[in-house]
Amino acid sequence: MANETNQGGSSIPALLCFATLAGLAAYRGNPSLKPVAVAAIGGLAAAWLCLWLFGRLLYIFNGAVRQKYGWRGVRQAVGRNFLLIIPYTVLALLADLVLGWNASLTFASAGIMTSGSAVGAELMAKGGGKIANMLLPVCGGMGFTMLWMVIGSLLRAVAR
Amino acid sequence: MTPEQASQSYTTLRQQWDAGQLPDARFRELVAQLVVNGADGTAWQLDADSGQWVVCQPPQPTPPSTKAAPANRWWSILLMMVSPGQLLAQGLGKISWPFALTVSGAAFALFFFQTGLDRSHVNFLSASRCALLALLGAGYGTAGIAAIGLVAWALSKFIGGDQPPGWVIRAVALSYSSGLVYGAAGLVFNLFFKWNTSLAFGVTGVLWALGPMMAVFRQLSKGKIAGSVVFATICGALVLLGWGALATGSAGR
Repeated sequence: MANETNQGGSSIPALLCFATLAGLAAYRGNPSLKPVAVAAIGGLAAAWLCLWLFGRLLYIFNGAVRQKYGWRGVRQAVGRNFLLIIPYTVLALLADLVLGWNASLTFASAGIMTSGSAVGAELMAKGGGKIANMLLPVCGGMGFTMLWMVIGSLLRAVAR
Repeated sequence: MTPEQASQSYTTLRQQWDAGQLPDARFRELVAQLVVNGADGTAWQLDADSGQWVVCQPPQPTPPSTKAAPANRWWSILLMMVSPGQLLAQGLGKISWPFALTVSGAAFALFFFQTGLDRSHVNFLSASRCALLALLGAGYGTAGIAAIGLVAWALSKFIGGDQPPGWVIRAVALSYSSGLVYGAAGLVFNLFFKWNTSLAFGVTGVLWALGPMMAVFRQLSKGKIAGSVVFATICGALVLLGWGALATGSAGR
């Protein structure tokens, strides 16, 4: 029913951001092309998996939204709200290149939590349960962050 | 109101609702006001769910308890952190600009103070220098954020923003309520457990503020995501670089 398609909902921009963040983390460990490329591609795949799991979690526990909008509606809400990761990626690049910080993980985790909360807020506005959509994005976001940390460490180790 | 005007208003409201900016009850209330009289005197309205024209139903009385009350000031700090769209849809409730700038001032005072404390764990940095940093943070969080609020107001003109500068400054300053919450938690861990918290808590709190700031731009642009992301990135970068120059530079390398 809705205008979701007009509002966008592709996960591609978010996936490219996660690939950039993974590449940036690897660049600090080994600033050559091959490890950065390996980390970026691995990061992209890992982010796709994490976003899918995050969407599924919200889909399962949002009966009203599931009935009204289906998996497509939830997936598009995830893609649309994870656009919020873009500023975090740009700022992580700035912090690394201008300020010399190695804090891409901090930026990624803050971006994941903010984007996750925004997904919850949208689903709540679409008729989802209040408690479920306040708690689940936080829990899902924490799980996403932890998984991202583990996968990031693995990718860095492989890239070396 | 003509049917074309009503359809246009419905499309705008629908986009805001789809983007999660407009609470469901408010969306239905506003759509219910889009009534058009036909040539035979029949009143028509748009169905909120399908967008189709239907014969107008007599309005149902709404119990007073279901109407959204404006958020009080303290609750608004948490609300801006977890659900900024809801607070912005209420027109920022009872938030005055001194209160909003106090929130951002306190957030940055705590953040800068922890930057000093972190440095004192590694190199000697006197308590007075840490206090000076906190003062600098308070100044940055009030005058600096007010200036960034003005930049945000100017940028909002490119995406059709029609709010006055005072509203934008209040909204941008209140976006840093997450900085205040994280800053307070970080201070506890810094003082009692000697953790280095400026990055783990301070930066996280300031970064979290990007979410509410994007909600501010989305509200100003009536739901345009791309413009909101670009302008929030510009404002976030200004804040980050300002902090990098002031806090880390003033503490000495």
